[in-house]
Amino acid sequence: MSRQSNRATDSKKMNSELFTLTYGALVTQLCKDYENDEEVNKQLDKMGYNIGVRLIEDFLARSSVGRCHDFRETADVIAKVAFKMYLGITPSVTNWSPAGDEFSLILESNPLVDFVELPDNHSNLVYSNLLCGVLRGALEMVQMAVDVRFAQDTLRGDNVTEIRMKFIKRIEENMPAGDE
Amino acid sequence: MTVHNLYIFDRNGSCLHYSEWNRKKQAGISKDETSRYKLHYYETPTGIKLVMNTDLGVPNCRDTLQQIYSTLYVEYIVKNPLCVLGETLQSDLFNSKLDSFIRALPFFSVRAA
Repeated sequence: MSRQSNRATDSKKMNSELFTLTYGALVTQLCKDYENDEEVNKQLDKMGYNIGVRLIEDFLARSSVGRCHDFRETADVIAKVAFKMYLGITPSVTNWSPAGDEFSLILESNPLVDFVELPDNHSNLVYSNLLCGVLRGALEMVQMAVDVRFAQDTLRGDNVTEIRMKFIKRIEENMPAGDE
Repeated sequence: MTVHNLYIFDRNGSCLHYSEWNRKKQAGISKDETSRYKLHYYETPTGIKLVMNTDLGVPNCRDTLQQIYSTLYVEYIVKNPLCVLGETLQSDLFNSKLDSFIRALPFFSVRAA
């Protein structure tokens, strides 16, 4: 389809600085609109969630990835296919919990924070919290409830950025009553 | 060969979209006629289900349904912020794109019955 070939060239041309700056403007505006950092974090997560529940459909349409068999496969697809497709980076998957229900994504670089320095009065701000919401929303649509949070952030002086993901449960599909 | 109708259901099984082409009888499929229909089914990992009924001469339509999902449903419904997910699809753009997509299928044309 011609539409798809256009899209492929468009995404290459897309200016990543514009993307980074737009995200910065969004976070700055939220900081103005809400009194405290926790509230901003919450809003970013909510926005991300709303993006995630739609983005997953685009992801499936473009990648033709099927259902994952286990959480390890999910982790690999997120790191190697999804992050690559939307942010142009490939985080490493590490720090698996013994039960295999929790892992970390280590981001060597985070395109969202290219020009960012956190001011002292925003020490509780999780600047890239949108990503957590996106991951949570997207996985919820494929019947996985997960907990996602930033464990380390280069903005707060850590060496790497680490997103910690914990599998909570499978969401059962609820069929309409009386259709059995 | 021809296409009769297309349903799109969401993950909860509610019908988001229905459209039909080349149906002479408006009533539901009666029991003795089911052997004359072919039902094509495609489901995404997010639980979107596409069902298309055609006559028996039509080959496997999995790719066709996958295309309807990726080039029409995702492009015109999911990426349209005015379309609320999980509600009946009300986009005229989607409807007209879907109609021309189906009409352009190689097996759409109706042969004299």
